[in-house]
Order: sequence, then C-alpha cells, then structure tokens
Amino acid sequence: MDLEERIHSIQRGDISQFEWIVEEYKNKIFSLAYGYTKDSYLAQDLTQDIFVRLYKNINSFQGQSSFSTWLYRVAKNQCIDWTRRNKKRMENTFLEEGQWDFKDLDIGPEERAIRKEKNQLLYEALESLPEKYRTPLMLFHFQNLSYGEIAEVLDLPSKTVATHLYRGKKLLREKLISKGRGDMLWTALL
Amino acid sequence: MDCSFIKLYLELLDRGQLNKELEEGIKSHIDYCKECSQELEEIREINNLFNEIQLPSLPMDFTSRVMGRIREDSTSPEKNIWQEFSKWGVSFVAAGLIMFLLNFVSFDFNIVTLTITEKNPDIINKVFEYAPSNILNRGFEQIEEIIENIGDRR
Repeated sequence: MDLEERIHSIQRGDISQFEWIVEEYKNKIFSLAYGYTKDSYLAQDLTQDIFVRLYKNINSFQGQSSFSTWLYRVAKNQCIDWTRRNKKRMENTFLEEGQWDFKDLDIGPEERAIRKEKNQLLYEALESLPEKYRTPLMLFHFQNLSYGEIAEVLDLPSKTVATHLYRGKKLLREKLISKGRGDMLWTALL
Repeated sequence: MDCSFIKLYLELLDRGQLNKELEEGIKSHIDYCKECSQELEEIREINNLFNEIQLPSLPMDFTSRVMGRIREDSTSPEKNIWQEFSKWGVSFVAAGLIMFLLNFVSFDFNIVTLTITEKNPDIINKVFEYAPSNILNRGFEQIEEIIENIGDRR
C-alpha cells in the first residue's frame, strides 16, 4: 500500500494505517520538537501532540502539497506555538542529562562530555536565533529537506530560504563564538 | 557570477546538491575568490557540528503510546467543515439568493412615503424603506407617533 492509499484509508476511518505514519515520521518530528524544547520528555509530549493533531486534521490534507510538506508545516506551527506558550520556562532550560544516543558507543567519558558540551552550545545558539532563521536551519539540518521543500513548508520563495539559511548560519556562528566565550573554546570544539 | 549569488549556493555545494554546471562554475569562482572560499570553510565548520549532534532516543513503545492517546482522544478524525461546505456551497448560495430576491420582490416590498407639513411652507419628505413586514409595522408605529406629536404641538 502506498502513502496516498494509506492516507485515503485513514480519512475513511481506518485508524490502523495511522500507526504506519507515526512509525515512519516519529524520529524526524521528534528531532524537530527536541530542537525547540531541548528536553527529551517535553519533546516526546510535543511529538505526541503533533501526531494527535495530524490525525484529527487528516481530512484537511487534500494532496495540494506532498504529505511530508503538510506534516512538517503542522509540526513546525505546533512547535512555534509551544515555544510561545513556554517562553519563560525555556529561559532556564538546559539540556538534560538523559539517555544520549551516541552513534559511537565506544566513546569514553571525556569524549562524551565534549560532545554534550557541543550539543549544549549548538542548541542554545539555535534557540537564540530569530524564528525566521531558526526554523529553516532546523528543517535543513534535522529533516534534511531541500531548499524547495523548506520553501513549501514555510510558504516562502526558494531564494528567500537560501538567504535565510545563509544569514542564519552566519548569525549562528557569531552566537557560537560568543557563547563559547571566545575563539579558544570555539576552536577546541571544532 | 558575483559573490552574493555564490554565497547562497555554498550550502548546496557542500551537500553535493548542485547541478554539474552550477557546481563547476561555483568551484572555479572559489578557486580565485578568497572571501567565498572562507565562507565555505565557515559553513563546513557549522555543518560538522550539526552532523555530530546527538539526540536522545524515543522510547520503544512511543508509537503505541501515540496510538493509545489517539484512540482515547477521539474515535475519528474531525470533519473538514470547509470540505463539507464546498460540497453544499453552491446549493447554499443559490438558496440564499432566492430568499434574498423573494424578500425584496414579494408582497413584503414596501415603500412608505410620509409627507409632513409644518407651519412653514417647507415640506419635509421622509422615505422609510422597510422590507420585512414586522419592521414595516414598527415604522408605521413611529409614523403615527410623529403625526400625533405634530398634532399636539399645533
């Protein structure tokens, strides 16, 4: 069964097909949610909320765009809403210790600490970016979307997306340098 | 190609997502342009950082938890009212138009002209235009009141 058939099936009331959708997209949505919440438990809750909303609104998907574009648009809007509602909480949030899924399982405690520091710096720097730069960067890097796909999700021309990515990355670098308290730590991290 | 154009495509160059012609053009520009070459280096540094980023993993039972919540929350997706409306939209518009026309063309259509003459030869013409009969009746009541007031003043 292809994606289109599955969606029609869900729209006709076959809830079991939605399980396939959750399984297929959960990690991507979770990585986006984590970029906004910086906390795995909050990101899990937010990811759940996103899927519940997707299911409830599945009938509004009429195939004008690709399903993934529609899905990311819903997810992005819900993440931005979440950020607005939790602005105060976010000011004092640091990356939790939690279970980190490091690709290289053989790394020692020192390497683990360095990687955690990099994660911390990057997420904090991302959080401090204006929304118009932050979302395209997250869609580009965490979801691996192309300029065209990001343009569809954000309803912007592709050239604007390219400009926002370029300026966003410049600004991100500046923030990383200032958060790393100078070039020394920045150099050590790279 | 000028630098401002090149800079927007360095990201795609790093990802290998440019078509061959554009890729060769940008690469040959970078060979002699120090500024763009430096920009590419900086982009690569940040990209390396993104590539190394680690995420906590989702619990194994995440999908079943989501499905459980969906089953608890609602039994079926919400109906898209606009989609439903679009099926009936033409009929609604036609019915509305007919009612609108009937309202103004039928026996309910009335124009009441009241001419009140005061002491002076000036004539005040007031035109009340009411469509539904209940508003029209209210209009008549007001007219009667005005006529009575004029009579009292005389």
